[in-house]
Amino acid sequence: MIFSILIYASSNSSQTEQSALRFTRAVLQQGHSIHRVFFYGESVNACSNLIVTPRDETNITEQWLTLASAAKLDMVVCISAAVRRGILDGAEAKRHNKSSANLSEGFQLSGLGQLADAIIMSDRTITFGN
Amino acid sequence: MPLLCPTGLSPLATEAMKKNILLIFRNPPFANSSNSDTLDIALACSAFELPVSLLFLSDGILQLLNHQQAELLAQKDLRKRLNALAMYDIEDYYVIDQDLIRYQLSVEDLSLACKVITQQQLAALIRQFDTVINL
Amino acid sequence: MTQANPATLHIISKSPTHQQLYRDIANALLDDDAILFIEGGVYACCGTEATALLAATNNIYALSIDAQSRGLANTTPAAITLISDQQFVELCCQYHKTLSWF
Repeated sequence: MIFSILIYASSNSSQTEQSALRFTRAVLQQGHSIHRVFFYGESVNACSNLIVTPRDETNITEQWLTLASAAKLDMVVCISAAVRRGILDGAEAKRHNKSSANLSEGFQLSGLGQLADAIIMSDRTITFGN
Repeated sequence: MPLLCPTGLSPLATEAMKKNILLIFRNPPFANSSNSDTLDIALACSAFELPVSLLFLSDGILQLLNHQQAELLAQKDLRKRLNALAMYDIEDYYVIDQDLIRYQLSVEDLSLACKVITQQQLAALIRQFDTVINL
Repeated sequence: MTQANPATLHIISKSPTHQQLYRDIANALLDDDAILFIEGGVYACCGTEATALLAATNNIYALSIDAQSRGLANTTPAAITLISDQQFVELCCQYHKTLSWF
């Protein structure tokens, strides 16, 4: 089956991201495919490369990136949710005249059309939120 | 990046596009961004020709109250966008009778022409959809 | 993979102290639907607040890792089946759609 994951967590330290990550791994382990992981709302904060994780805590962003590169995941971050929270890629930083970009490499900013596409193209769209 | 636009999809995907979607609004105005975020999903899905229905559940019906003055709080009034939904062919809205009763409201107090269903009909309504998003 | 089952898997991640949420879920359930408690939702495994839900369907699951991590693995009633992440995925395949409540 084809799955897509919608993440709508209120902070990246919450367990929700962890649940979504474990679920995504389990989907892949069972031979299903992931069409897209879509980060929406506050979840976009997990995609900043400025996050400094205390040494005794897990860096969820790195875990997503590791899984994404191993499984060629399409990880899309809602552009309007991201920009309003200060998560910018190079193009957006330039467009809005900001001094730097901070979107972690491996995530892509795009519109909600990517979520609609995920819903259409996937057998199951699972929401993880809090 | 995969296709952005529904044109040029495979026949299988065209078949898949017959899916419908229910979006649930469960929060009062100004609580958080979930109502606005849900509305944005509705518009995006509609642009991809997914049939969209909206359910205003529990405190979600408060989002529909007439006479709100969001500008007093320097907030955006979501109703302007809600009232434009018909232009996007989103015209299927539901509320639950018990939620109206709880706040002593009638459908005339709401800014959208909602169908009123009973608590007992809620489960059957949800059954009709292929995808439900409940932020 | 059969897709004949039209029922819904309700994924609940809030504890039963969210009473209105639990009332809404109870109304949203049909008797062939399933419930999966995850994250803070697994606290429904202890106490009686989830009784209305337990009465509405026989298909009730809790994510084992979330119950175990909260010290609930041994107190989970027999009516609730503890499942792995793998079984979570399998449930998603078995049911026509999932509905997340948080």
